[in-house]
Amino acid sequence: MDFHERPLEDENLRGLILAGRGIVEGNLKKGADSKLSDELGRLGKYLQAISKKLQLAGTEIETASSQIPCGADQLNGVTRFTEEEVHRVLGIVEKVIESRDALAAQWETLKTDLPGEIFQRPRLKREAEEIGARLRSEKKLLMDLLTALSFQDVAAQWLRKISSDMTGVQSRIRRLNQSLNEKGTEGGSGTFPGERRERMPSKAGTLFSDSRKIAQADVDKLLKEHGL
Amino acid sequence: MHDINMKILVVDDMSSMRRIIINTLKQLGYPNVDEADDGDKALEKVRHEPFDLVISDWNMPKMNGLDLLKAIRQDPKLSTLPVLMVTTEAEMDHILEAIRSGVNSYILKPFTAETMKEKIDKAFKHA
Repeated sequence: MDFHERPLEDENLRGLILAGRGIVEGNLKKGADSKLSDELGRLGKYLQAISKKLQLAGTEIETASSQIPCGADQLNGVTRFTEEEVHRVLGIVEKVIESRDALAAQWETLKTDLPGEIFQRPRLKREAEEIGARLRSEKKLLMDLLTALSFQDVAAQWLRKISSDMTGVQSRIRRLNQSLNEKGTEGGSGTFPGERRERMPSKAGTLFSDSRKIAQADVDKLLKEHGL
Repeated sequence: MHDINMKILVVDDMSSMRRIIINTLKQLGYPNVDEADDGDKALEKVRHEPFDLVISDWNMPKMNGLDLLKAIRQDPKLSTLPVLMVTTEAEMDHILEAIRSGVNSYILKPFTAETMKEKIDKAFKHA
């Protein structure tokens, strides 16, 4: 059974503690019996093997993480593309609104120009009312279409956040690799350089499920509570 | 009370959003609209030209919408200028911060023309 496969036993720990004390006190013989020497030797080999594996994994991780900037660039490209496309759709919507407004104006002129008695006829009166209602409804639909395009900014914010989180992940991977290659010069503090200064990047998924985010109805309630 | 001739400044770093808001305002009957793509430029504009309302995004480079709002409230000549935020920022803490900083109303994107109209009316009611 390899060292790392053995269960941690009090005896082993006691031995290690004794050896540690012996080293600290400058008395290497204290507690350094043959059984413990064997254990320490095996532990050394095991740590060496682990270190080699980690260095190999580090290279793989470094290669994989080097793709992250390309991914982030692509996300920025998606944002630019959607913005350009929204402009294109906006151009079309603006033309349709213009055309609809011109039609509505023509209709109003026509109604004024035509003798009033024409619209006294039941069928013509009903049809005139229907045209008016349709023009109003179309205006509302076009307005909804116009404002619905504001989804693009929401999507762009999400993409920006994901892109920034990806960059954060890459920098953490780099620091992890540096830490692995420093061969313990950090003294086993359990933290990576600069980790305390930088927050762990949040999960992109929280953008879509963050319970702290609220809807317009809740915003309205909040505004009302504050007298707005 | 506000009228249709009032001058509105739309502040958003995204050109498509500015175009959407300006078009919506025009359709709502407010043709007198100007634009700025960040808080710095917006502050410069409101300090040199008379505006009746500022409609601002939150997340912008250089000066963001919240800092713009605070700068407006701190400026004795501009402190009563109504400011409406139209943003994707939907976190309770952020909204409360905007309210405490003196925002007149708050709209989440994507929004509707009805919401925009209602909030403009309310912003003037409470200004």
